[in-house]
Amino acid sequence: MTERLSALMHERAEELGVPPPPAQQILARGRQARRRRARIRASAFASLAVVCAAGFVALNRGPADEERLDGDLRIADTSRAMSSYVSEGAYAIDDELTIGANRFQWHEPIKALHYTSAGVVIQSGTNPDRDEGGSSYALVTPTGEWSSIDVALDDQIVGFETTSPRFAYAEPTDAGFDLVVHDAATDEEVARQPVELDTQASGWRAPPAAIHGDVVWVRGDGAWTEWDWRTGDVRPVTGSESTYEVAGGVWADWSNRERWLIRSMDDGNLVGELDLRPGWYGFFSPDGRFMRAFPNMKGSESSVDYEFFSVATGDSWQLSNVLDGHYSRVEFGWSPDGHILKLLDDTLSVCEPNTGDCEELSSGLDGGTVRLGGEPYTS
Amino acid sequence: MNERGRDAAFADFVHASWPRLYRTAHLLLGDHGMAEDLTQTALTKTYVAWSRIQEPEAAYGYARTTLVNTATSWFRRRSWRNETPHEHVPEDVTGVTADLTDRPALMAALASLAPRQRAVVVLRFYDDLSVAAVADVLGCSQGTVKSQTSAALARLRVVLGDAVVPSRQGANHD
Repeated sequence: MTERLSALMHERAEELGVPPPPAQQILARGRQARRRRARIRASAFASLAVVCAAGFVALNRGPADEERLDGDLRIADTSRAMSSYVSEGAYAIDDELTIGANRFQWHEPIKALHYTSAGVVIQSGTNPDRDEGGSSYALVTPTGEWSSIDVALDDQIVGFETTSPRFAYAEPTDAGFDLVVHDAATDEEVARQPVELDTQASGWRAPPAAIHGDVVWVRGDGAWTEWDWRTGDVRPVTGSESTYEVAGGVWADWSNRERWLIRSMDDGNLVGELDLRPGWYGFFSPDGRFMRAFPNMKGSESSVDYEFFSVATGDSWQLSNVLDGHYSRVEFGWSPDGHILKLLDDTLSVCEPNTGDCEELSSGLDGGTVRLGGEPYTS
Repeated sequence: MNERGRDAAFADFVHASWPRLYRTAHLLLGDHGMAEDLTQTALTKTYVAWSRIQEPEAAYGYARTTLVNTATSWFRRRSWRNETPHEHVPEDVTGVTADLTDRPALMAALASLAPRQRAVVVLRFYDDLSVAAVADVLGCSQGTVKSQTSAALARLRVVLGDAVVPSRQGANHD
């Protein structure tokens, strides 16, 4: 029954005027891409010791197109630049991107920054509003090499992890959702899996996703679903009904609203207990080792503005007197290894997550839209 | 083989594979310039992987898979969706039989398909791949290929008519 369709397609194809193959142009582009891949692989090896020492593992690196951003390359050595990135993180002011000690010029406003083991994935577009005007994605290494990432994520909440170059997201389809794992370093889709998810109550265009090694979690209306993207196994995550925060291989069981039980994504075992104040909520650091808590319900405000917890010990320290109107801008982010990025007015500091001791990174950050890496994103 | 030899072999591969890849790209995208860009991009990625492609006969399959996957990425771009005139194809041409010499009708009909459906149709009925092979290229299940094929043919039947895509009771698309 499809013979005529097939014949029509072959006839149409044969009628096409096929341009001559630009073999030399393809070879030139291919050599360029291969040189870049070799260089980035070399830099990955050089940075491996630094990254592993910080608890990271670099995997499968090698972007496709060769470019290096203009900017202020204070640390050219790949290993040291990676070390700087891991402990100081990244941030952007409009189209100016800072990764660790190095500063680069991007060609359009940066909307969001996400950490991977291969560098920072940036979302950018002519409209600085994250959900408006369309976005493009690119991977930028700590030494300013960049490559585009060919995905259209719109306003989806994408799961990144600091220990690999991969990220995960849910893509709406006619039949439901596809879960997708994409490698930022090679710009290749690694795995895809259709899943049935009920998201009517939440109203998400695509539900939030998180990735941890071989598993991807995605939240439906009722609970989270786990997909092992290497084996294809899909299963519901028992006890995750009240969980919204998932990062760095841990998830927060919020069922008792005050004492947060932090569990491992690997086996569900308890890895920490955090005593949040009544009506407060918290966001994990990207590596899942710390949490920043804040008043989330009317009436829960106190003299303390923020409380920072260590997941492993439950110990915390408080930050006060920053939301009293003294500062025009108060924003927080994280570095990949859990250091806190703190922006007060025009001064950005990096702080020890266990003590709150801070060191100034930059001052005079006047004007412009500031985006700090490691920030959680909400729909 | 030294680098010069490898490049010479790859250049031969480009010359041999280009026409067919280009035609597949054009059927996927419906635009000469984008088809040329897509084919170049796919072959560039194939060059990067060239040393890993052990069997010469596997090279074409690798390039075609790369081409389709790259096209799929392009489809997902918001700008692509905005620029592609999917909505201009008539929903109902019942009683009108498409003129088989009117090739643009085919391209308009293909443009009316969802991206994955279009890829399935091109791979199944132009590249003549089996259901299993299409599933392998697209990274999905054979069941998905069958359901996408069925939905695509139903859509093409509406646009092109029964003369091109006849309806048959109980037919499957394996």
